Amino acid sequence: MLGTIFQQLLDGITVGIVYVLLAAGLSVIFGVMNVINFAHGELAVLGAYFAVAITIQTGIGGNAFVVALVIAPLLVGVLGVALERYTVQPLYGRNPLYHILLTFGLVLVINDLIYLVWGTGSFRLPRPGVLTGTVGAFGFGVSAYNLFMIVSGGLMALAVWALLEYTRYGLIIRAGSQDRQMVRNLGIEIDRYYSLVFGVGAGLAAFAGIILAGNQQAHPDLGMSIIIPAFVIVVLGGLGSFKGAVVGGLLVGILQESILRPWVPWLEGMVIFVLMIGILLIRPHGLFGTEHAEEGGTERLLAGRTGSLLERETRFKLGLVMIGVLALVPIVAGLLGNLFWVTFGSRVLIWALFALSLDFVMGYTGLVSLGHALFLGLGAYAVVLGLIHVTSSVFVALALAIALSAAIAWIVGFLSIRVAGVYFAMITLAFAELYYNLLYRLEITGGSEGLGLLGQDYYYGLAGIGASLDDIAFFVGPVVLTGHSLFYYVVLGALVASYFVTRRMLQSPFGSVLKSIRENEERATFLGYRTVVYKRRAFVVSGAFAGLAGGLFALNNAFVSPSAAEWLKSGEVIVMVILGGMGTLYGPIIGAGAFFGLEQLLTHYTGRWRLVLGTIFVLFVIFLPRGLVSVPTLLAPYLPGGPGPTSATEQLPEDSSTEGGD
Amino acid sequence: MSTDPLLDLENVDAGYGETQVLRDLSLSVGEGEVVSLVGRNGAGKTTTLRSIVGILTPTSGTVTYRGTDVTNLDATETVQHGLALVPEERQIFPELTVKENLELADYGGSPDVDSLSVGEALEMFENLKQRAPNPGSSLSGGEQQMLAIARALVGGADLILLDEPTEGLAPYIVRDVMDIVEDLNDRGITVLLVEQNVHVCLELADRNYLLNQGEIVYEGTSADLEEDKEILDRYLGVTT
Amino acid sequence: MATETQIDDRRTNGETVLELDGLVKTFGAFAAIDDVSMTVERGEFRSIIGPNGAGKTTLFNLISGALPVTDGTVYFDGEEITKLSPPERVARGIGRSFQISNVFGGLSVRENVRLAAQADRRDGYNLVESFFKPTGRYGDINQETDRILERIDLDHVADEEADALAYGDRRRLEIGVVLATDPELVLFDEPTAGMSVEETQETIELIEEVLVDQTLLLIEHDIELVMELSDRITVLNQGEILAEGTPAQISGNQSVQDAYLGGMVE
Repeated sequence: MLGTIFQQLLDGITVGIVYVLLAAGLSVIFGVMNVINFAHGELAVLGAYFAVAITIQTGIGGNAFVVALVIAPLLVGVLGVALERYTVQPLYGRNPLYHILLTFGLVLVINDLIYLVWGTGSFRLPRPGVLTGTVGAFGFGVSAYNLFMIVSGGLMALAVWALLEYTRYGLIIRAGSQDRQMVRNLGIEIDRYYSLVFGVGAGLAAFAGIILAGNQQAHPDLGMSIIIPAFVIVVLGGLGSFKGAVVGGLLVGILQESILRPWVPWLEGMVIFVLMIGILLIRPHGLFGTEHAEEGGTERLLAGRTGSLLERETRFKLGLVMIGVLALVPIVAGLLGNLFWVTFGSRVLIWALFALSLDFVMGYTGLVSLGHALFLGLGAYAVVLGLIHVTSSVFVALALAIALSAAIAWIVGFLSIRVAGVYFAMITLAFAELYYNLLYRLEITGGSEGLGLLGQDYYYGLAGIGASLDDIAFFVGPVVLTGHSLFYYVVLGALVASYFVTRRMLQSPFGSVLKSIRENEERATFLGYRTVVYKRRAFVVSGAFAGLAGGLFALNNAFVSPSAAEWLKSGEVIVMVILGGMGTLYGPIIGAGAFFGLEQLLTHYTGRWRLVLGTIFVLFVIFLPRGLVSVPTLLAPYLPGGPGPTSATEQLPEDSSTEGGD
Repeated sequence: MSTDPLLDLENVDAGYGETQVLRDLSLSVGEGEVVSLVGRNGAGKTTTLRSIVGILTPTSGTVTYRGTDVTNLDATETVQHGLALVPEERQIFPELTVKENLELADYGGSPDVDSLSVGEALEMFENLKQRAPNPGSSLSGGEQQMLAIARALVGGADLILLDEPTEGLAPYIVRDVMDIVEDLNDRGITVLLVEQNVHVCLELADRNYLLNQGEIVYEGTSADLEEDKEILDRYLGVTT
Repeated sequence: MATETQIDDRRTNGETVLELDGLVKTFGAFAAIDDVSMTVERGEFRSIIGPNGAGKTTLFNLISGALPVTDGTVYFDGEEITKLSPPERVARGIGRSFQISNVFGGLSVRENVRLAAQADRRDGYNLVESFFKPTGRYGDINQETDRILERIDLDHVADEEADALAYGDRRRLEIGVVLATDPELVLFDEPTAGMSVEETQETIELIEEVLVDQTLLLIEHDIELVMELSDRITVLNQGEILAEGTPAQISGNQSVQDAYLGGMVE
């Protein structure tokens, strides 16, 4: 018994030490540069794969382990320095949320590169002979490798701590995380140290990845699965606090591996998110975090701009033409006898609706929800469960989906809108992950299998009046519209209706307050608006439309699984909003079209389309943050008769530390 | 006062965004002088100091230090030339110890070999020596001011720009700070002092510039200014 | 200007509109406001002066609700408002003006004023309407908006973006926005910081003229102007009231002289 508990505790510390190394880098990078690095997990896994290359692919095996442990982190460190210099640096001075977007793009790129080079298989890193057996410790037999992880990881953490505490670099970095401008005033080029910090953080992550891969296995999606707990730890411990990373890492490791997994496995994967939400609500700066001089987040997000190139009326007509063209898709596809474009179109339109919903809250109130897939998943499960258990009317089921998503959005909004910026992003992510993990655990949701609608009878109508789409057929010339084609029109109708409803809302008093909050929240407060209430309402509206999108998402697939709520989906929808241009409502629709159009185009040539997409996204975040809709305004000066020159990145302060007046 | 000014501002315009704060401002500070910049809140005093050290870049005009044009240098670079700003908020690093605050200034700073070492600075300020292992956040207002000045010395400054060093301090601490400024001057360090407290200026400064709405409206020795009741009344609200 | 008003149109009737009773605000060990009690009469033009760091802005923050008080009570219109949030205080009639450049730059001039007018008339429409009925269809709000745009002489540029306005017009807009919230009392924190002497003069006169029916509380560093325009002046020093009285009383007060000289102990 005691032996088991000891073994479990050791397992917890083993995993905990990996988290400590990951979180320490993340935390210090945030403290000094205000950068939330989503690609940190990928860098860790990249380290593991470099080690795979050095040990397995050279044929040397376990004897090269130690060599790999030295060289791979160095390589990843160098890569980190390059990433900081060429992608992160151009964004200093913008809202820190752009770093989240950028590094999410990097996740897509690095992840796909790993697939490209090493394939989909997983590798167990060969260990050197001395680390394969067990050793006696405190009277118990313990895996030598686990001990090695704890000792080497602990030494590494200690080294980082000593570096921060006792060296000149460490002192400068600690000072930089408190007050960057004053460090500059003392004559130190703090900016020169950013690359170093990023590089060391990346190397540390790689080290963690390697020792983990010797224990578990290296597989391409390992990064995605370790980054979220690492974030939880950083937020829990306090963004920017090394001590917080150590305490948080061990706490989460022990909690997960030593307590939850062996004793209450049902709660595994959920408790840490509850813990994180709870701590953020009680202590917004985490256990050991403090408020710092430069919090960031005051710089505005960059909304898409079309300028006044087109008259309002012309734009409206253009919109109607677009709807007309979209309405023709099933007919043309029918004529060509290729229904692929119908199902593809439905998918694009559903995502367009999802992106529209996110834009309503992100583009108009500046609340960046990193967990919007929560509402997609809620809507999807609500429709499927509704059709199985409650009703056979699709409309009633969709109404349920909307109502449920709106209600949950109100609760999430109530708890999280009081925390600002980066913390809001993190707390929404935590809620989404909590839900995602819950879906696996619950019986009613079918666990990891998900739920299908196959064999369910449902109809489009109300109170028993209506029909299944397969039972209806419209004849347009030689084309028969039924099933999927009709569903396409349902989706198109929902998107167009949602667009007009949200647009109308923005013209109402409610919408005009939202715009004023985007302009200057403090000022709106002193006009007498309780801005938190308005933001929460916007969040509820957004959640409701995302729920509708989720319902349609499930209907389109006739199936739902937990992946509907995975964080990758939250990330992808943000990509679409930015690609198109946020704060415009139609920009994200264009963005969704561009996203899937690109995917379609690229999959013809390569299976690794995310690599290209991620690269394009990174370029967008750096060079075209106002999205595709801003392209006409950018090109206008070069066209004959266009208006004067404007820039997509105008009004950007040049330096993050631009300070107030005299 | 030497013939060649140590610091020379010629026709400087500066501001934030669209708001112009300094209008055609010219002033000079000679080596070894204590010069004060007085004026009401919002007159542009802090903006002048920021423009000199390069936190803010003037939109036109030139800033010359020891004959070198430093107009377009940033704050990091001007320190290398021997300029140091002690900001109004002092900006002590709260989570670093007193000693670490000084060490940091030593890492930056000018390559000047004569600059004070961390140890010498601690010897100079008895209070700071006692508080050396304590975090910056534990210091009193007066101690913070001392530490901020000590940092400038360790950084090898020849010209220290003091922004409202007595603000928020109790009168007997104000006295201490004034003594420190005099002590600095005895060590051959030139001081440009921004103050609201006219008494402090009149007592410490060799010369005074009076700033109003971003323009220099008066220049004169402390003796002259003290006698000029009309100026004191008009720009500082001091009627007698 | 549609209405010709004189500066001495301002009338007080002896009724108290704002009362502060024993206000204290501490930050750690430092008392920014230390036992301040004062009353302001309806219609009065009151200026608050004092050296840098005297606690003027902190006092404003306590009145507007931007900061919670450490101790003491704030009464407005006879009711205690000490615990109310800033929006609730705005609803009761405490308006606050920011520095002039602080309008909603990306919104039109009309929208700036309309938002303020709308904030004051939220009982004029229900929740559903507020979500779906376009702003153009609220007759009374839009009438009020037009009236104010005329009053501040900006009706001819109503549809331009506020950012595109000339400096002087933006200043008018700011004052119009304050007026549109229909305040009883308006707090002005150095509305003229960074302005030239003439601009300062014009701005203060514009405030006087447009807000002739409101009670005004002003922090201003131009003593001459304050002396000229205020009904009464409160002098703060180190968080305490040093003196209070008419401009004539204040200019003859020795302790005020000393405060401006810096409160030095020689």
